[in-house]
This record gives sequence, structure tokens and C-alpha cells, in this order.
Amino acid sequence: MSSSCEPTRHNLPMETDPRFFRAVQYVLGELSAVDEKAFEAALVDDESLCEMVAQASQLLAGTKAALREAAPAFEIAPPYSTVSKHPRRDRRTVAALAAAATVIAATWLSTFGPTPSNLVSVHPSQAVQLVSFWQNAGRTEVGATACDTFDTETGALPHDDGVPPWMLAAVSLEHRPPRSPLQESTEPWEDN
Amino acid sequence: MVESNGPDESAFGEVIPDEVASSSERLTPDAVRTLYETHATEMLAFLQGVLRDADRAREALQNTFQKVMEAGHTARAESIRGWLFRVAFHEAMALRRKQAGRERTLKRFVSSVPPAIVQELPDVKLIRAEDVAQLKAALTELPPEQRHVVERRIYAEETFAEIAEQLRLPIGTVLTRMRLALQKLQKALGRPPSKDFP
Repeated sequence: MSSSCEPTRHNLPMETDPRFFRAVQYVLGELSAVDEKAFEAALVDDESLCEMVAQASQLLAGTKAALREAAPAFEIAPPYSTVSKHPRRDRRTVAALAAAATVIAATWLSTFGPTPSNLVSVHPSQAVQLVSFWQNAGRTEVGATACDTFDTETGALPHDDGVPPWMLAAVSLEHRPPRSPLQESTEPWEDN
Repeated sequence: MVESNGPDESAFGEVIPDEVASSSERLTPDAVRTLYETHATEMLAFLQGVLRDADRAREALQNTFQKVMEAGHTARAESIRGWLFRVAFHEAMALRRKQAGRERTLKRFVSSVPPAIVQELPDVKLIRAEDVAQLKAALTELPPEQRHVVERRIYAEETFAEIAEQLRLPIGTVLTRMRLALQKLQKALGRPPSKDFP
């Protein structure tokens, strides 16, 4: 073995030996190709340098284990992961996912989505209450409700209702049966 | 360590089994086992440092002790540790060359099977739980800027250059922080600079 390392071995703690950090850099793969070759050439017959590599390896492995124990969440989301090493690839992935989601949504809507004929399905009594609310909103006296003046048999509206036509147009007075048993059970007016 | 009549004290302060020191024939299984118990952890750490791969390091360790079986008796007793490092490094380089040349797939099964005694050797751990606990405590005592660099380099596996770029620091500053932090962590392990391996 080389005798060049003997003074270091006996006089300096390993961690303060400048070659120890060199060994750390070697274990981490941080040396240039040229420096790495030179370091490995020195390893061949330098026992103390081999020992430093072993110590560096253990220190780094132990520190990694300690960091992992200290922050188990790092396993799922490593620290500083917000800065991607591949931002361009990430953007492309997001764009592809967004396009796929759009296509799926459009397909679903065209198949199962609402059509102009079923956009609104309101029970007449509910419509009457709504209209009544609109009517009475502007009156000062609290008296007859819209239900009092509304012929529920014919569905005719009072003459002086004061409701603008555009509001009425938004409400269909035609009653349609619920589309599913679940909907039916949740409609309060069906309890009667 | 070794239960022999007259163990030698080597230049490194370690006890060398008489069988290794004096035998002109192949080492006995007991002698190999003794050497393994004494040096395997350090050799494994060394091999992992060289190969940067736990599996290949263990393969190289096995190959190293196969060589001990075959030629350990040729090593001089006072230099057995140095001899082991040399053999281990040689085995690591051989594995690296094989991987580089994709020769592993062509490796003949017969030649890859180590002798029974090597197969029976117990597994060794690179790090001990108490070391990890000590390091965990030491990490909390590091100045934040040093711990930050340690976390990024060792846990997040960013390179020093990447850390310097992201923190907008000179790379020398990053290296200095890492070096100072590792000095403290190594000191916290409380190991003497050599031979205190299980």
C-alpha cells in the first residue's frame, strides 16, 4: 500500500482530510471523467483512500436513510419536485390530457347531455309559485298569492300579472314525468 | 474476533487469523468466515461507493470472497485488509466492464455459482440503525443552509451544479456547505477513522 496516506490516517480525522470530500464526490458521481479515472488509479494501491470511499459510501447511505425517516412524505413527493427536470415533456403531457378530456366530455354531452326539449322540466305548481314570487316581489301589500288568481285547472295566467314575457318564456308549464325513479322520489310535489 | 492460539497484530491494528498468516494452503472455511465477519461491511461499503449499485456491490462482494477462498492464502497477513481492498476493486472493475459490454447475459451459469462456503456467508448491512439515528439527530443540528444542500444533493439527488443554479449560488459555495455538513455528520457518527466496522 501507498505510504503517502499514512500521515493522514494517523494525524487527521477522516472528515477533515480534503481527500474525504473527494471520495464523497467520487461516490456521488460528481467527478469529471478524467478526475474519476485518476481517482480510481489512486484507489488501486491506496488503502486509506479505499477506506475513505467506504466511509463516504456509508455516510451518504446513512444520511439518505436518516432524511427519509425524518420526512417520510418525501417518498411520495420528493422535496423541490415542483421544478421539473423535463418541463417541455410535462407541458406536452398536460396538453394531451386536456385534449383527451375535451373529446370525452364532448362525446358524453352529445350522447347523454340535455337537449333543447328537456332543458327545463318544471311542475306547473312550481311554476306558479315562481311566477307568484316574481309578481309579489314588487307589491307593497301582502295579500293574495299568485295561486289565488291562477286557474290551476286551465293553467291560465291572470291578466294583470306584471310578469315580463321573457321571464315566462323561460318557464315551461308543461309537466313532464321525472326521468328516473330516483328523481321521482325526490320531487316534493309527488308526495300527494 | 479470532479464536486462535497466536493471532498477529497487523500494521492496521487488526487481528489476523493465524490460518491466513501462516498457511501455505487454501484457507479453511472458518478462516474465510472470520475474514468475512471482520471486513465484509467495509468491503461492501467500498464496493457500493465504486459501483453505485447495491445489487452489483453484493455480487462483487461475493466474488471477492470467492477469490479469498481461492487465493487468500497468498496474501501476507499484515496486509490482508489492503489485499482485500485490491481484490474488491478488481472485482468491481470486472463487473463494470461486463456491464458495459453487456456480457452479463452471456455469463455462463456454472462460472457464476460461488463455492458453497461463500454462498453460506451471512448477509451484511451497509448501515446500522444506530448510525441512522445518530445522523438523524445530527441533521437537525446543521445550519439550515447546509441541511438544505444536503437534502437536495443526497435525498432529491440533484447535482451540485443544479443546486447552485437553482439557489443562484456559486458552485464553490454549494460544495463548501456540503463539505462542512458532511464533516459534522461524519463526526456525529463517532467512529474512529478506521477499522470500527462490525
